[in-house]
Amino acid sequence: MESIMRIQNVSKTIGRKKIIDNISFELRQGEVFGFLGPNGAGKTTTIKMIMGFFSVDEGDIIIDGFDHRKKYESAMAALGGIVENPEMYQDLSGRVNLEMYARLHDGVTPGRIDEVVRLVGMEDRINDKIKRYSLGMKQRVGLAQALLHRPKILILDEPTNGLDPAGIRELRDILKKLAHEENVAVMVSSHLLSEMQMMCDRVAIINNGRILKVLLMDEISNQGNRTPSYFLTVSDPAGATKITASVEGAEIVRTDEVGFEVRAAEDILQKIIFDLLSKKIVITGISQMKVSLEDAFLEITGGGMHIA
Amino acid sequence: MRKLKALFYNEIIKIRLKPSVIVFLVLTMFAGMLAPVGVRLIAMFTASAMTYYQSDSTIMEEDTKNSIAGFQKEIDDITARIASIEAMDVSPEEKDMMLAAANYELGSAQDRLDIYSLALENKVYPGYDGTFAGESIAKLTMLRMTIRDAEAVYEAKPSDNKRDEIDLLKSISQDYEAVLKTKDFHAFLDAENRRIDADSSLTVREKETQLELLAIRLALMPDGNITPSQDGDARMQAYYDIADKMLSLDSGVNSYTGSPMTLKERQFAESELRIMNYRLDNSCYPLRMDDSDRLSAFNTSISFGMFFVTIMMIIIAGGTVSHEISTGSIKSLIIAPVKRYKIWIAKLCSLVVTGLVAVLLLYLASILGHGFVYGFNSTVPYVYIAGDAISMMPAYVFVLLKALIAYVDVLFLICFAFMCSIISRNTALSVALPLGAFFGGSIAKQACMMLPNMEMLKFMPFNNLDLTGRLFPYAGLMSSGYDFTMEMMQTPFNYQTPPAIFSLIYLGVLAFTMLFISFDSFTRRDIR
Repeated sequence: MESIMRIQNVSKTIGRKKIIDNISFELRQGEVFGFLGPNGAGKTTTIKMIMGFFSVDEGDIIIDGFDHRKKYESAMAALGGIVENPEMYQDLSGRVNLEMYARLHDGVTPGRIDEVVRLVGMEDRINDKIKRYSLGMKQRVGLAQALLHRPKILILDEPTNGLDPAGIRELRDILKKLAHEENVAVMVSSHLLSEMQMMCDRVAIINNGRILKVLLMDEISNQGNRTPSYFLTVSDPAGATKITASVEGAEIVRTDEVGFEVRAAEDILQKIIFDLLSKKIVITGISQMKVSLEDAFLEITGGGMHIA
Repeated sequence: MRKLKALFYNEIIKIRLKPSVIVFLVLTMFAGMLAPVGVRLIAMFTASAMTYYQSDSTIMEEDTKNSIAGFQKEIDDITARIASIEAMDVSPEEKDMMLAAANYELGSAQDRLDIYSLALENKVYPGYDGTFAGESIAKLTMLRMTIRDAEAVYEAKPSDNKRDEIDLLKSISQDYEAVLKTKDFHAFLDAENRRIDADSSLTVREKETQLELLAIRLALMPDGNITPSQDGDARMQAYYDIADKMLSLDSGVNSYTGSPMTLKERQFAESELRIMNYRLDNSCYPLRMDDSDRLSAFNTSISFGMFFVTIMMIIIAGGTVSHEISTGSIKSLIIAPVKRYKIWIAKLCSLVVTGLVAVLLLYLASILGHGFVYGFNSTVPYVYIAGDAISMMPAYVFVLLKALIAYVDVLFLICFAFMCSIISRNTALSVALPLGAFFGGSIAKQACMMLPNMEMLKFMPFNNLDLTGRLFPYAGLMSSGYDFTMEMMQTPFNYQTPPAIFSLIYLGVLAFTMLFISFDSFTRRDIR
C-alpha cells in the first residue's frame, strides 16, 4: 500500500514540557490507522499539529507529497477531519455550515453536499440550525463536512465520543468502506483498544509523547486467540516445572512458591497432569488463565501502560 | 485570492446573522430617520413660543408707558433740584457749574421723553422692536446726545463750522424721526448713510466698512424686515455675523475672546469673510431658519447613528476571534486549506466593510428622514477654500463625507477591539476595553481641555479623534446665527487639538501597530 502521509521526527514543546517527542509514522492509502494511547499521551496534540492548530517545533509533516510548512494549502487540501468535538456555527443551519466549508475548497459541487448529507443520513434535519442538533447529529454533520471535498486522508479524533452503540457501528462501517472501497487513508485516535480492534488495520501506540510501537491489528488479535494457559497449584513447584518443561508442546510462563503457569493445548495438559501424578507430585488445583486482548496488548508493548 | 473571497463571504454570512447586529442596525436606521423629526418638532415648538411672545403688544406698550413716566419723574426731580440750587447760598461760579450739570441732565431726560413719546405714538416699542425702526430709536438717542455736546461746545466758543455741524446733525435726526413715522427702510438707510458720513470720529476705512455693511443689509433685507418672522431673524442674524466678522477684522480684536487676534485667527476670519461674501454672491447663504434646522437635523442624525454604529462595531470586532475560539467554531476555519494570514485579512475586511455598510445605511436613512420632514430639494451647500480657490460642495455630498470621516474614529476602535480579541481571546474583555476607550476617551478629552497647553497632550490618541471639525472648518457657516459653541468646537486653531494631518498620521501609525501585533499573534499562536 502506498504511503500518503509521513510524520518524520516531529517534536512539540508547550511551555517547558515536551509534549511530543520525536515521533515518526506513516499513513497508507486504503487503511484504517488507529492512534492508541491513554488520555494525555499526545494523540490530540499530534492531530492538531497535522491539522494546523499547532505549529510544528521540529520535524516534518509530508501530506500527499506536499510539505506542510512550505505548501500548506496544497497539503491541507488532501485532509479532512474532526478534532475533538465537531463545533460549527450554532446560528446557521447544517447546510449553510457545509456550504461555507465547501467554499474554502476547490471543486465541491452542490450535488456533492447532498451526497455527503445522504451518506451520513441527515437529509431530514440538514436545514435545521446546528444548535437544535443532538451531539450525535453534530458528529454526523461533522463527518459530512470532513468528507465534503473527497479528502485522501480522513483524520478523526475520538470519533465515537457521544455516539450510541448503533451509531458507533454505523461509523465503523462507513470508515471501513471509505478505506477499503474508496482507498481513503483513515486515521482514528482513541483510548479504547476494543474499539480500535474492531475498525483498525494498523495501530500506533503512543504514550508520554512517544510512539511505542506500530503494529498490525492481526498481531494483537492472534495473541488473543492463541493457546490457553493454566495455573497449577502443586506441592513442589520447582520439581514440577522441571517435569513439565520436558513435555513436548508445553511452555512454562512463570513459577512461584505455590505453583506454576503453563501454556499448553488441552491434550498436552492431560499429559502434563499424568506425568506429574506419576512422579508423585500432588496437584491441589488447576485453573485456566483468561487471556484477554488487553493482556496480549500489554505483553506486546512490554507493559508499563494502562489501557482502559 | 479565490480563497480570500470565499473567507470574506463566509465572514459576512456570520456577521449578518448575529442578533446584536440586526438590533443595532435597526437602531442606527431609526436614529437616522427620526432625528430630523425630533429637530423639526423642537423648532416648531420654539417658533410657536416666539410668535406668542411677539404678538403680546399690550405688555410692550405698558412697558414703554412706564419708561415715559419714569423719564417724567426724572425731569420733575431735576427741575426741583434746579430750584433748590437757585436758592443755595454759594459762590456764583459754583452755582453756574451745578446748574450747567443739572441742565445737561434735564436736557437728556427731556430728549428721551421726547423720543419715547414719539415711538409710542408710532407703535415702535424700544427694547422690543428688533427692526430698523427700533434701531432708529437708539440712533436718535445717540444723535441727540451728540447734538447736545456740540451745542455746549458752540456756546462756549461759537464758530460757523460748529453751527453747520449742529444743523446737519439736527437734520439727520429729523430723518430718523421721519423713519419712525413712515417706517420706510430706504429712508432709514439714507439717514444711516448721512450719519456715517457726518461722523468725524470714524476713520476713512471704518466709514467704508459701515457703508459696505449698509449695502449688504439692503441686499439681505430689501423690506427692512419690518414684519418679524423666523426667517427675518435668520436674515438679521446673517447680517450680524457678517458685520461682526468685518468689524473685528477692522479693529483686529477677536469679538469672542476680546483679545487681539493672532495671525492664524486673522487668516481664518478672512477666509470666513471670503466664504460669506461668496455665499452672498452665489445666493447660497443660509437665510432661512429652515436652513439651520436642516443642517442640525443632518448633524443629529449622523451623530446619533454613529453612536450606535460604534457600539455595534466594537461588539462585533471584540468577539470576532475570541468568540470563535471559545465556541470552537474556529476549528472549521483552521482545518480548511487556507493559510492563517488569509483568515486574518478576511476577518478584518469583513469588519471594515460591515461598518461601512452601516454608515451608508445610516446616511440613506438620514436622507430619507430628512427628505420626509424638509423635502428632498437640496439644502445649503458647503463652501470651502482649498489652496486659494473657493469651491462649493452639495450638502448631500458634505454629509456623506462627514459620516465617512466620523467612521475613521470607528475604524480606529475596530482595530483596537480586533487586537484585544486576538490577544486576550476573551470576548468580554475585548468588548469592555474598547467601549471604555470610547466613553472614557471623550471624558478624558474634556479633561485635557482644562489642562494647560502641553505639547505631549497631542500624543493622547483620543485628542486626535473626531476629525470632522478640523477637516470641515467652515461648516459653521452653513447655518445662519453664528453659534458660539459651534465656533469654539470647529476652529482649526483650538490650541489642544493637533492639526488634522498630524492626527491622521498619528492615528495611522497607532492603527498599523495594533494591526501588526494582532497579525503576528493570530498567524503564529497555537489554537487550543
